[in-house]
Amino acid sequence: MSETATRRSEPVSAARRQFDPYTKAVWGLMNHWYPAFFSSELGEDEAKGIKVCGIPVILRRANGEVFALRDQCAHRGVRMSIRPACFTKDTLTCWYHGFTYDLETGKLVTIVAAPDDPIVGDVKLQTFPVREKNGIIYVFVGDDGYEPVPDLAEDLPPKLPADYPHQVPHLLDDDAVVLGIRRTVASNWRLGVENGFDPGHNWLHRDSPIVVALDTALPLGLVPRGPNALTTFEGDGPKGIRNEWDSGDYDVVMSSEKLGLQARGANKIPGLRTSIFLPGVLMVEHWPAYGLAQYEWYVPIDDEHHEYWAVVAKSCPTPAERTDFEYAYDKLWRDAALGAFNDDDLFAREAMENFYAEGGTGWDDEQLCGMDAVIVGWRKIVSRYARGYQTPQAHPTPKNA
Amino acid sequence: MTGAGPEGARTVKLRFEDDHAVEFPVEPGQTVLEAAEAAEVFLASQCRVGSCGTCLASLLSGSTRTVAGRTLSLLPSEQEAGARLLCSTEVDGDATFELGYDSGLASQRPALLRAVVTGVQQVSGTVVELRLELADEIPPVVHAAGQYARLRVPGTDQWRSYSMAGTARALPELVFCVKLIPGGAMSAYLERAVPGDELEVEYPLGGFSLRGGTGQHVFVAGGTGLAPVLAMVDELRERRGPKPPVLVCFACQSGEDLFGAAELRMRAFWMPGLTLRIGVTEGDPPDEETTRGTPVSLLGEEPLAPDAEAYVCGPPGMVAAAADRLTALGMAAHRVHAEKFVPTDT
Ligand SMILES: Cc1cc2nc3c(=O)[nH]c(=O)nc-3n(C[C@H](O)[C@H](O)[C@H](O)COP(=O)(O)OP(=O)(O)OC[C@H]3O[C@@H](n4cnc5c(N)ncnc54)[C@H](O)[C@@H]3O)c2cc1C
Ligand code: FES
Ligand code: FES
Ligand SMILES: [Fe+2]
Repeated sequence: MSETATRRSEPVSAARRQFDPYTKAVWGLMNHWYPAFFSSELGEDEAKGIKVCGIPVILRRANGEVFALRDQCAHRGVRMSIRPACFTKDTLTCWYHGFTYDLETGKLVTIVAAPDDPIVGDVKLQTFPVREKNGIIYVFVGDDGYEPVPDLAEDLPPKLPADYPHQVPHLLDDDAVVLGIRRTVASNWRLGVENGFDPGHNWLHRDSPIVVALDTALPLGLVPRGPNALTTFEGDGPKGIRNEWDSGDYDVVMSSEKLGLQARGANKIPGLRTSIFLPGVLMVEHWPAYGLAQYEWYVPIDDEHHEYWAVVAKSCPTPAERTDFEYAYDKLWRDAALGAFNDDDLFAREAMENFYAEGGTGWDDEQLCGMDAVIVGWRKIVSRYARGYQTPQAHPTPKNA
Repeated sequence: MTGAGPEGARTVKLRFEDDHAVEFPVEPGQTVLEAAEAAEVFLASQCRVGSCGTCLASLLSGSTRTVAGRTLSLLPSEQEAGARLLCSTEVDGDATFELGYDSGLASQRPALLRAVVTGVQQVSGTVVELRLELADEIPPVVHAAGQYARLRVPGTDQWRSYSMAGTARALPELVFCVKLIPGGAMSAYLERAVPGDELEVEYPLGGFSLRGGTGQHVFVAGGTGLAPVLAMVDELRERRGPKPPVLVCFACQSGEDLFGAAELRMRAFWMPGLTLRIGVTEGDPPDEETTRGTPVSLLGEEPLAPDAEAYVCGPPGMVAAAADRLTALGMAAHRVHAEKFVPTDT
């Protein structure tokens, strides 16, 4: 036991056991929906590969529709996406010896030079359900044969009740425009998730250009003080937990007398709050500005990398509003909010990796404090409601390696 | 269930590649693989649910049935040609099978291994949790949840059977829940056992294991009969794919005997589909979440779904009573699987 862990006691370790399955979920949660590509990244007839939870997946668009198969040729195991070959609208051919698979069923339908081989028709690649909405292609990363496949909406933050005064768009709203970026981060996916809604880390962003430019009243941090600080979502629908920053049960800390620190900014954002839903989807309401919502994913690639997705959504019922939002996204939100502001978060996640990585002691030795109630809540919700856990995958290779 | 039905036992004959043959009885509800093991014939097997194909044999004569609720990896064409997976095969009468290996290899015989005691902890007035770590290499065939091992009482030639309370994922660690029997040989040893002691282990043994199926899984456990049930519940939780609904009815004699309740409640926390009923047979329940009752009475009066599968473990009397009760609640006898904790000398 290390010296910093002197306050560890039996009851603490009992509480810790409640999220034991989470601490073991190194390779990610199985049987959930994850974003794979932005629609704009996959043109007609294009085929591209990703890795989710260590599983290689190839996505191909044909006649507008996107299909996903295991990106590992049944023959000799090469990743087909490293040299995509497509000869018909309904098949995908491996560039090496020409094994050709039906896009919809994954069945081997022919081999370029051996169409009569008896294995044709028998061999099959796993297929993955795909949905595409508002510019994002989602893939259901499931165990082969997992049924029934839940709706995509089950794995996204839920729609706000219609009578709630501070509305932001849901990711599947017909009039939502969703724009964003993605990048690979060298940390376990859980460190990404836990950074997103961490109420103690706000002060990290205090000098961010966008905070200064918009004179945003961003608190140094938030400390839960009562039962209404957190809302858990355990009934039907998405499973998750929300920080109710405006509930009165969160102390909004604007200064540290001892350190002489003062949060700046005059512009308070009404309705600003954060929530996290399985399999790790962050929703920040009214961020980076009132009326917008920022959503994030931390898609497990392998045990030590995640694909960090950050998007901003706005309801744009008219073409003029869409054009305006696209302009603002292009000139401001992309670089100042998703870029500079969230770069602070990337820095933090990668800095945590050593402590928590395989061989590190973070999951046992971390010393949580009062601000971390929501983090423990999230871990317990995963431990109860995850649809499955990925087992360690052989030969971990970072994406595109 | 191994109680002989009105039809009584059938005889199965196995012919090995080297023309060596063995015969043994198969009781109704027993698979050929289980019956072989009961007769100390250790056939090659691995998954024990019909998917890996290790226990492949060909039917030469007789008629067979597949254990309900299983998806076999055999193609229909192979089955027509006589192929059978013995882990998932029951017989309708006498039958003869042929195996594709020599009788000498008939073993994945349980391995004889050395183990070191890593923990001995009294978890209730009468139950000790024993932790061992295998000192020899982990054998190629590891235990299915529900199986047991035989432990040699140190310094004697006596062996005692105990079921593993965890899944093979925890190997090389093996955990057992042992009831202390006054005057018992192993019990006496455990009073003085300390970490670092060496023990001999015969591992893995037995045919008590999950049968697959997506229907409700009903577990009925009395006393240390909880051990294999904990392993099976963990297997359901840790394995891939959808989790079936689970009901666990567990009782100990008295509050002083009761153990494992916190572990079970943790499982219920992790598995929202797990219903837990914990009881004590005599005296006052130790807390509000525990009721007065036997493992059998905790089953209640509600009829069980036709696709439910039951696993019963405990003393022989309790196992018999549970089987009767489960049948009365509408379960077919072949869906009731049991392990009886019989004393070593009977
Ligand atoms: C397949 C299998 C799995 C088992 N798994 C477990 C397990 O996980 N945990 C566990 O605690 N037990 C288990 N048992 C029972 C255990 O093996 C016996 O109880 C064992 O004989 C106890 O050994 P001992 O050396 O302490 O007592 P022994 O020296 O064997 O017995 C001393 C005296 O007590 C009597 N006796 C022995 N056991 C019992 C009993 N259970 N009830 C009443 N009287 C008894 C004997 O007849 C003898 O007269 C299992 C038995 C089998 C067959
Ligand atoms: S490796 Fe794909 S066809 Fe040979
Ligand atoms: S042991 Fe695997 S199929 Fe029978
Ligand atoms: Fe942040």
